[in-house]
Amino acid sequence: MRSGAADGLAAVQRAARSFVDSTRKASESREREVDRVAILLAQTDAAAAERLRASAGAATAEAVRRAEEQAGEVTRAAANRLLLMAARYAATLTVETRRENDGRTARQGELIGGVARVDAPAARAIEDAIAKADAARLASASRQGEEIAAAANAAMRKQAPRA
Amino acid sequence: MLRPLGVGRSNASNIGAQKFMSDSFAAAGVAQGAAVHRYAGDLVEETRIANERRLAEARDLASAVRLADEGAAERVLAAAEEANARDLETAARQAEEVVRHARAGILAAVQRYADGLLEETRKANETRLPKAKQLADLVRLADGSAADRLLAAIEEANRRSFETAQEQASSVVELAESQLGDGRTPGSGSN
Repeated sequence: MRSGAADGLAAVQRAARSFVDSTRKASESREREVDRVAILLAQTDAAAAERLRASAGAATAEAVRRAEEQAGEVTRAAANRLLLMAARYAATLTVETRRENDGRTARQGELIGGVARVDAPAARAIEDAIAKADAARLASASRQGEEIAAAANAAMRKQAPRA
Repeated sequence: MLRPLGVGRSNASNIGAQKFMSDSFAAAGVAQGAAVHRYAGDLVEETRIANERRLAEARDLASAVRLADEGAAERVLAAAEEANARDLETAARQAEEVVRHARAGILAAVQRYADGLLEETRKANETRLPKAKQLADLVRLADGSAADRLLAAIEEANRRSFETAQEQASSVVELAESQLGDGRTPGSGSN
């Protein structure tokens, strides 16, 4: 699923570049046609020919600028979906760790029960050691989650389209 | 408080049974110790496996994030690697503490059991002595020297019985100590 999302972003990036390139090529092609007309027009009205060329140049620049803007927005949206996925993954770390801790409970209960039959203080010390380790694992998962979420959030802010 | 096995039995007729029970008790302690060692070893190994799985997930995620932001991808990987190191350290510490506490508890129980064996033998000997003296007094009526020989034989039997109990007690403790190892987590010594 993750590599699918990454493939999706790569495809979006390629499509966005292609869209900008094709827009530029089409605009330049139109500009060349306008230039041919401007050459003819210049024989009768040089100033009008210059205005025509300037207008065509401006139209090309505007078309490329708008294509780049659209490509950027689409790419940023796709990138943000990936980063959102990373933030969601971060949130699952604590849940997973809690489940892993719970998964050990039955075996640990047997172990503590066995030791308690011969020495209650040792069993209590083992219980304390297990509780301390479980808490440390949860804290570690929570820290890892926060670090990953922070990295993803910072990257998402960087990706956000400028107003 | 641990109740020594075999309390209340006549030790004169139950030396073999006591030895069996003391061996069983030590064996039960050792089996419990082995279970603790297995748990500790499994805990560290399971953490290693879980770390590998999480690192693979983090690499997957980082490779995807890298397309969006190189720096974020590096931070994702670094966070995962640091968390794995912390988790492995936590597991190793937990395993070491569990083994240490279990070993101390089991050895303490075995020691109490061994002390109980000696106490039981001493009490049994003391209980028998007045009866033996009454018997000797009766025998003395018929033959004074026979009564002295009888008393000496009883005292010798009591002494041997106590020595046997001492041997059993120390062998139980030694067996438990040797079988429970040095308290280190399996596989942690060379790391």
